[in-house]
Amino acid sequence: MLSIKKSIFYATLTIIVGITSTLSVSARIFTNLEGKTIDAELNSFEGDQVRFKNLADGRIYKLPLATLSLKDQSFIRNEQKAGRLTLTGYKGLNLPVVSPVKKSDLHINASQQIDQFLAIYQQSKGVKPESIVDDATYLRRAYLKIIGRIPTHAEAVHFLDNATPDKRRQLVDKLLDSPGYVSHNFNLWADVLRVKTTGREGSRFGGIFYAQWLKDQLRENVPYDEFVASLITAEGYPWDNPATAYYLRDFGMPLDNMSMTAQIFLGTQLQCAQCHNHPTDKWTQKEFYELSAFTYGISTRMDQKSPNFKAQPVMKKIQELARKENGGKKVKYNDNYTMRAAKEFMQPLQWGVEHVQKPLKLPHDYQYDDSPPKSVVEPSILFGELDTTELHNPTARVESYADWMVSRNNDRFTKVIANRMWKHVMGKGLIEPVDNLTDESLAESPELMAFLESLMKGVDYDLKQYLRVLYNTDHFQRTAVIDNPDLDDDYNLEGPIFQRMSSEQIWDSIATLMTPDIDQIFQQSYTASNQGNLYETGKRPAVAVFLEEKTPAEFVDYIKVFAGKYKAYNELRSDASAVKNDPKLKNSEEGKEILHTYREATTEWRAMLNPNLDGDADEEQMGMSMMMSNTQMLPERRGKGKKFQEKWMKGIRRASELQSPQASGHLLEVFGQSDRMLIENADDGGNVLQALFLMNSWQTNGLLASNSAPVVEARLAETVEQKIETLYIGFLSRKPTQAETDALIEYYKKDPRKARERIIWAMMNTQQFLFIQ
Amino acid sequence: MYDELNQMDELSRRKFIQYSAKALLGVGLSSVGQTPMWASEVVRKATAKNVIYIYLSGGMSHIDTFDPKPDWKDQGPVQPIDTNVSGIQISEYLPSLAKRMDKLAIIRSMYSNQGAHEQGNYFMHTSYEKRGTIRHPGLGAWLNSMSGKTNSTLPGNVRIGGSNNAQGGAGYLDSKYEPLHLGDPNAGLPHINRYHGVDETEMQERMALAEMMDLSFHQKYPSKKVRAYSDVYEEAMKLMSSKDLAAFDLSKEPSLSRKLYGESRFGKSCLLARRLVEHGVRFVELTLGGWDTHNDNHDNVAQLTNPMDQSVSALLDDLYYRGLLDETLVVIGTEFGRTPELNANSGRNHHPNAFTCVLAGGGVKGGQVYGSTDERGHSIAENGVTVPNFNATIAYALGLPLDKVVHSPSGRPFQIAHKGQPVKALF
Repeated sequence: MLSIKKSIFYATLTIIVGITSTLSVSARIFTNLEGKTIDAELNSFEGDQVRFKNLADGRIYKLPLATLSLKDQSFIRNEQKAGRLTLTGYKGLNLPVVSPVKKSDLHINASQQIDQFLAIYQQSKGVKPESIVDDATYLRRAYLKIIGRIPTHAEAVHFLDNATPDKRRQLVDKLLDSPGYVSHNFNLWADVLRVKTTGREGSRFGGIFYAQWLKDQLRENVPYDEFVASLITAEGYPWDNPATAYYLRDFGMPLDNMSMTAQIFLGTQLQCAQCHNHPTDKWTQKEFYELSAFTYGISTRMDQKSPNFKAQPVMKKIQELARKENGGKKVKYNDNYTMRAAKEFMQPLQWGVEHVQKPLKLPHDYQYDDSPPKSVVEPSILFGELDTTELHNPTARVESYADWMVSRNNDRFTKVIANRMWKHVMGKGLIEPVDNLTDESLAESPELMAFLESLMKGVDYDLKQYLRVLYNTDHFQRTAVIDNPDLDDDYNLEGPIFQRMSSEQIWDSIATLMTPDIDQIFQQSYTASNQGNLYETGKRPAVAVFLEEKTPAEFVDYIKVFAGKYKAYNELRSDASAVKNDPKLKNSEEGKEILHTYREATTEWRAMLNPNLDGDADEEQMGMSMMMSNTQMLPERRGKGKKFQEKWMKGIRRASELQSPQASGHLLEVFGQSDRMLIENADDGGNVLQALFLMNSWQTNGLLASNSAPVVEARLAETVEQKIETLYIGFLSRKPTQAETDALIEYYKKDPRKARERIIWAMMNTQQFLFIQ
Repeated sequence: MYDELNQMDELSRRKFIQYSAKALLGVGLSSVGQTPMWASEVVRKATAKNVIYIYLSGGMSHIDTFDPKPDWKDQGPVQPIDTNVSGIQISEYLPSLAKRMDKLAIIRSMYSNQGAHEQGNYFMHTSYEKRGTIRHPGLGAWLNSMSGKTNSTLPGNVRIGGSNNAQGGAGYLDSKYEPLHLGDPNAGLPHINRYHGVDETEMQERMALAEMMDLSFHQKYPSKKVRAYSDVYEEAMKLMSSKDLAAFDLSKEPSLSRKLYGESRFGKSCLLARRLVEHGVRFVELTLGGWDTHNDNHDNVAQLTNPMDQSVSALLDDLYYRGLLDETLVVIGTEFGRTPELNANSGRNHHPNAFTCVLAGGGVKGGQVYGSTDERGHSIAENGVTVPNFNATIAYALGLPLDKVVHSPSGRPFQIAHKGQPVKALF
């Protein structure tokens, strides 16, 4: 039996093993005045010293700028002007380390075995595999499918000009170790797990802690079975153990949550069986309830009488105090400000996960003969074996459930993840849909499916290693195949599936065009508020801190003062709203005074509700200030337009570093980002709003056409041909054909600026920009 | 003939096939909004030209709204009130709609076999159960594909609010029938004007250039999804040149009518729906979410019905006084009802066994209740209406051919409302 690691105490979320900044801005080949070249990443430029990391030996070199060729000098100055070197101003900045993939060749022959299985399959179907794609197509696909964005101009040139025969494999390893891997895979799992950092799910149900935690799991490459077990067994508050958000996400809906668990991790859709025997699968309603009985005792509302509810001594004292205030008589909660204020302050403690003794009963209208309605259901698994010795201990029960779920002997568990990751790489599962398997489900190639399952076990559920094997197959390098879902036998695994980029890939690619080192910009912390209570990633709400740091008496003293502020605020509120609704009073001195007092009272009680416990002013976020320097390059615009532009520029981060999901109307939503309401709810269809944005927006016509990274790079190019090539590589990751160059040179001759704007507009409005070949 | 077809380039072939299909089916040749040419005897003259479909996502509690059960122990703090039609009572959460009962047809006997949101929502929108192998079209797509647009430059199918990924889009029909999604009713149509300095000629130059760049790409990947983008661009260009773009602009509306509809986002969506229908958009769907009241049911339902009651009432009045209610069918739909029993969190759980939907206008007789549930709202007592029957009723009002078999590209046969039969008693 697999031992389950106890969830880590998560108070120290942001303290991640870090290294001092070695920020790669761009990799390219630099030439010095003597004509010698160095293939290097540009690290920083301070004073007159340029710092490089040599890609050949990984060592850092410092050179005076003047020793470089004029073109390279100009490039570096431009990068600095474009705000892309400001990162180096952050001395000692800690960037999280991405856990590197094991570089051993141990599993590489597995890639060849996969190709052999595919060859046998193709033969049996009488089809031929697609051809291996050229470097440019491979490059774009590899970046999009491994780290979720297009390559920058520098990255593209670096790869295309590299003559090493092994360069594809090297690229796979490099990308798997980069921060983009975390970002791209976060998008996958945020969609599957319905991770929200907004609304109630983001705040009181812990989504803002959950999102960061999920990234950490990916960054540390936690084995999948451990990851799942930590979700299933999660206990406590989300700021201590963010995995609890897995249950809190479905607050008050334990049966629905169990359906989701079965769907995501076992590929079994049980939701029909919640109300009656499953009409198309074999599951009965009884079996649904038996499985639910394992997690039914996982409560998402903390019982105030439970020993886990640490605020009890304080609450008791407050009740006594309130009683005293009321002349010794029993107090109604609503009539007493001390009680009300205490409740406001304690609010975050209500939502946490604990394992309790709570028997599950069949519904009152249970219609089958095997049990009477309302009878208690004993936990029982759907298939396989389970240690049944401790089923009556609430925590042990959940743990044996998790043990069964993630066990190596649970074929379903392995099959589902092996298939899901295959789809992640190749575009379509060997079994579809990936989360609705039945006993009759047959993989496209059962032999290959079986091999993938044994591979998943062989790498000990190390998803990164598994992905590495898949990315290194010939299959991944073949020409993409159009899959028509309307035609059943259309596809015989001749190559990976031709797909539109996901919404996140589109957004992240546009972000890359603006900010080549986009992968280095992280969401340091999310904040969300709910009914006045502020939640922030990496911090615990004030009430949790006070419970540890203050004695009950001190805590009560705080609440007393707080209650006074709360009372003042509440009493002023009705006066203030009377003023607001009376236009005459509103403009009078008296009215203004009342509103002023009210605002002050609001600020005061809010400040006590969410005290600043660190004492430090908010540090300016890296991404922000970087964007600020970028905005300086914007064409002069004033007023509303300028504000909008600045705001938009500040919001350029990878989708994984923004709110999840984005609000309606955001580009991510327009291109089909999941609304996180349902499992895997993203959409890849076209719509009119997408076309309108790509054609008419300021972003296409102004920003990308004048200020994007390829444009800056193209300005350095000496000939028109080179300028055109630079733009093509930057936007489309390929060189122009001769015919294209010939046609575009004509444009340039007439009006270079107009030509550039037109070319960039056209590239953004091609379909090859949106689709992964 | 097939050889000739194959010699044509992709675009001409598609156009030809489309033209032939149109000629064969009579699609697009008949005058718009009228009974189409292929009408068989089951199709009678349409009573409705447009639909405003108000979708309450999450599952509306029927017994707290349109099907009150005052004697039931778990009815909670909500009381029934009289309406302007004697003998019909609805919940006190809906005081304005109660005064407009004479325009409503309440179907209290809806039932479904789908108890999960995704599946229930899909079923309501398409009449088919969700399958991994096919995407079924929604009613808006059916309507536009079968009887065409009224306004050739505006989209025929619009969705306001909710998520971009909602159910019931174009399905396997042409992607041009996909609803245009407007997240914020107040925002108008984003990016509808050409960027400053880009004139018509420049736009054409740019389009031509994009096509040149994509030349070999399009040859290499003749995929349906890529082609869909060509359609989308075509639609977008048409829309940009439309003379009716004011339809999207709420600021053109006098403040009085804005006030009547209410300041809520949903109110604005209703107002926008009226403007769109007025300008010839045939199918508008609005989403009002949050009905999944597993916790604190009554507080939540009271909050949700507040804007709904005001805005839907304003919409009905407005359509009526403009003479649009006769030709516009207003639908209130949801994926299922909620359990009569309150759960431990004072909430109600999913309940597909019985729920309520409402129709108004578009030829439907107002002031009636169709079907009923038992004394606690748990099961259907009489005249049960299935989801396909409900959708068939809408399609019937629109004069669409219910018995017509339409094949998906893979050759599978489907019907608009999956063999559902209209409830003719409602008309």
